[in-house]
Amino acid sequence: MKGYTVTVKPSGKSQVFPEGTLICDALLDMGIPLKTPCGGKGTCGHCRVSVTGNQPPRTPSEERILRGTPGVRLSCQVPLTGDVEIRVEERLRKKQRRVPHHGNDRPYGLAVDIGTTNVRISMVETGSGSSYHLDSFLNPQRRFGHDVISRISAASSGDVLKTMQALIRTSIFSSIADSLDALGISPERITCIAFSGNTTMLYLLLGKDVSPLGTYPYPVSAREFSSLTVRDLGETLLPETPLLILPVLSAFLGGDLIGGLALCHKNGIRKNAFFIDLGTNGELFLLDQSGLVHATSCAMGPALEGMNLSWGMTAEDGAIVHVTQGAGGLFFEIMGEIPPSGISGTGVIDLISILLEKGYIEESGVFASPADVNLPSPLSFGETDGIREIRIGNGIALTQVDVRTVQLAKGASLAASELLLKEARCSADDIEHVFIAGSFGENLNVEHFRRLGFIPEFKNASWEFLGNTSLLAAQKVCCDPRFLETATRLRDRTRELVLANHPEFQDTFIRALSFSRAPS
Amino acid sequence: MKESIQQVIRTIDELDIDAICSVVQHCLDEGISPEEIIESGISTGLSIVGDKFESGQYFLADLVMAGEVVREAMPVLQEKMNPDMTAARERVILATVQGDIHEIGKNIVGLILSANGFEVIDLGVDVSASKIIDTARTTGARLIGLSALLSTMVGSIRDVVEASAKAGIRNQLKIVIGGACTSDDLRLEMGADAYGETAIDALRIFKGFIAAT
Ligand code: B12
Ligand code: FES
Repeated sequence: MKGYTVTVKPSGKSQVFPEGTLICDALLDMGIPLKTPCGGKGTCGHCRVSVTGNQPPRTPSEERILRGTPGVRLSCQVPLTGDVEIRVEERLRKKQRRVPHHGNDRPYGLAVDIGTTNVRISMVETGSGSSYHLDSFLNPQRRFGHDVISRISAASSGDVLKTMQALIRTSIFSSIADSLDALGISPERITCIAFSGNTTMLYLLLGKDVSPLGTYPYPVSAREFSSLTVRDLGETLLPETPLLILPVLSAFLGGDLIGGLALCHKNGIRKNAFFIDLGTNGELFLLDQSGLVHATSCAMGPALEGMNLSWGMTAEDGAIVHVTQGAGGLFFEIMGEIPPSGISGTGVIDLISILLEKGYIEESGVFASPADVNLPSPLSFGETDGIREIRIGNGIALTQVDVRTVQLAKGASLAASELLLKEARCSADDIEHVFIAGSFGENLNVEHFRRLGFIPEFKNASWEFLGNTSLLAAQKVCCDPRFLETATRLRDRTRELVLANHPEFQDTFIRALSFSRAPS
Repeated sequence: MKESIQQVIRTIDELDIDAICSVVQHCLDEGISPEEIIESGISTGLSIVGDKFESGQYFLADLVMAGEVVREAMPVLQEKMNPDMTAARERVILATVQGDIHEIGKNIVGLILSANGFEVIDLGVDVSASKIIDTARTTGARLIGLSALLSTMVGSIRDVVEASAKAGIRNQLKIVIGGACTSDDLRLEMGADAYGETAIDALRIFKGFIAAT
């Protein structure tokens, strides 16, 4: 295959990439990561760069977003077709993190949550437990597929496993190096790095063979990862630093779920509790009346993480992160208070919930007929390429297909929850605590979330949104050496319900797709 | 088009399971042949349902319902069908490939094929290549539909193609693939005969194979 040279100005740094490589991927590989909040759909405009040299014509979405600015391209839309020179505006390089007070020489740990879609890194003062957000970015392995299974299948060909390991390692450690540098913290003060994530993400970090994880009966080759140091990852920054990695239960129940379980346990939650981590791979556990742990997982897809929706994006500047109703119509809270360029998972939950409540979306999920309802300002009905949509303004819309995508996700998690309750012989009414976890990047409106029915009603329970428990668990690991032991012990007590060949799944799933509140 | 046929189309489009039998009976009473009712009425109705599914207007439960509406009408039609056509019912083997247990899409394909006069032999999910080929041999079925949703399991499609070659019956069979992770490129790569994106495509493709022989 042909190769073309990408030169970055003004530094002059250059590298050769195969024809067809996206400019944003080339920049990432050259250590210049750009934020790509819409996941490269070409809708958010965050990845813009100036390009000179041989390049394909602008795509329609670039025309729409970039309008009059010649020479500027959306780097996620431009495959290499010749040698190019690229200029990245300093302002668009990734944002500097919030700087903690560090006028001391206390030791720090680093906590990393490797999600299928998003990666998050924070720094923890191991003594006090105070933590600071360092960075978050889309998992660079996304170019090999958006869900765990596509990555597993990609990994089985040629050198892709090695490439994926290198991508995740390089992105994490270059982010760490940049952050420490910017904060003026010397690497010697880092005493450990804790990792959490689903089984596939952890295996890919360690360069382990993931192909068995995708093939029935999905055997795991390792469930604990002890006595490793950074050097074992093939990384030269901080080589002696120990790695603390949360244990996994099975191919689909990873360190992220076990971390959430251990956190609840540490907080004194021992029975009658239900927990769900809403990710691309949804994972849930249930503590029954006698304290037994039952867990399962379901394929939800990345909709709530802002990905497979027409205008979905992560919670970055320009994202509609919340929608509320006011007297004059709907009010949109936009990150960075700039004109909106997309909508995040929390925003989608708010919006659909409000539209359902008012009957603008029927319980079946279908949009009401424009003849029957008047949408609140500023919304309006429209249609593009035969697909109906509710227009929000600034070119952004929620389409009928987007609502179906959310329904597929919620149907999977509701069906999985119901079957898990049944398996544990638990009634939803006995549950006292409901915990919702997920990396939405912003607070979740629990009432709106409840309306959509991702999980059963649990009418006698207190509901709480815990945020990203996977990252929280990794932070805990940095401060409390016994946390890993607790996690491992709890892991060993967990009974897994495998839904893969459950005879009742299909009917439960189809019923669970509806937004109706009817008792299930 | 005759009003009574349009009524059939509308009834399927509206998923009106209670009305379908009387609407179909009405066509028969007017002297319209069962074949024409299936061709112009039921198939057209189903493709409207399929389009609405594509655009998000209809959803999974609606697709399942559409299959049931059509199934409801079958006995009424079969009574009037001329015996030659019934005898000529083509056998189709349907299966979700080995290692994959997603069955909803395959079941919808099955419903729509049987609603359109095919005799469907549904082998279920996670079916081995040898079982599929054995069934083809013992039943004489020439048409095989394989459903695959997991990208890790697409190799199972090739296993079926290879097993049929080994059994010496590859050129007697038409192997059609479908399901979320499949594509026409994949069909070429695996050496299958056709790829269908939707259950309606499945119907069109299998009908096409029959017409061609
Ligand atoms: C429901 C579901 C399940 C259910 C299945 C229930 C059941 N009894 O079938 C359960 C929970 C068991 C399940 C399990 C798993 N799932 Co699943 N699941 C889904 C989901 C949400 C919907 C699938 C579905 O039924 N679609 C509706 C039907 C109507 O569509 P369809 O199958 O595509 O069929 C249509 C056409 O394709 C066509 N067609 C279908 N077959 C054929 C055949 C022929 C011949 C033709 C011509 C046409 C045709 O006609 C149909 C109608 O138009 C999808 C997400 C998605 N959006 O697809 C994930 C999805 C398929 N699952 C996925 C995964 C990863 C899994 C698991 C590995 C993960 C897990 N954590 O449990 C397991 C694997 C189990 C296994 N060994 O197969 C991934 C696959 C990713 C990939 N790249 O391969 C998906 C895409 C979700 C995701 N994005 O992560 N899953
Ligand atoms: S990442 Fe390129 S436009 Fe959003």
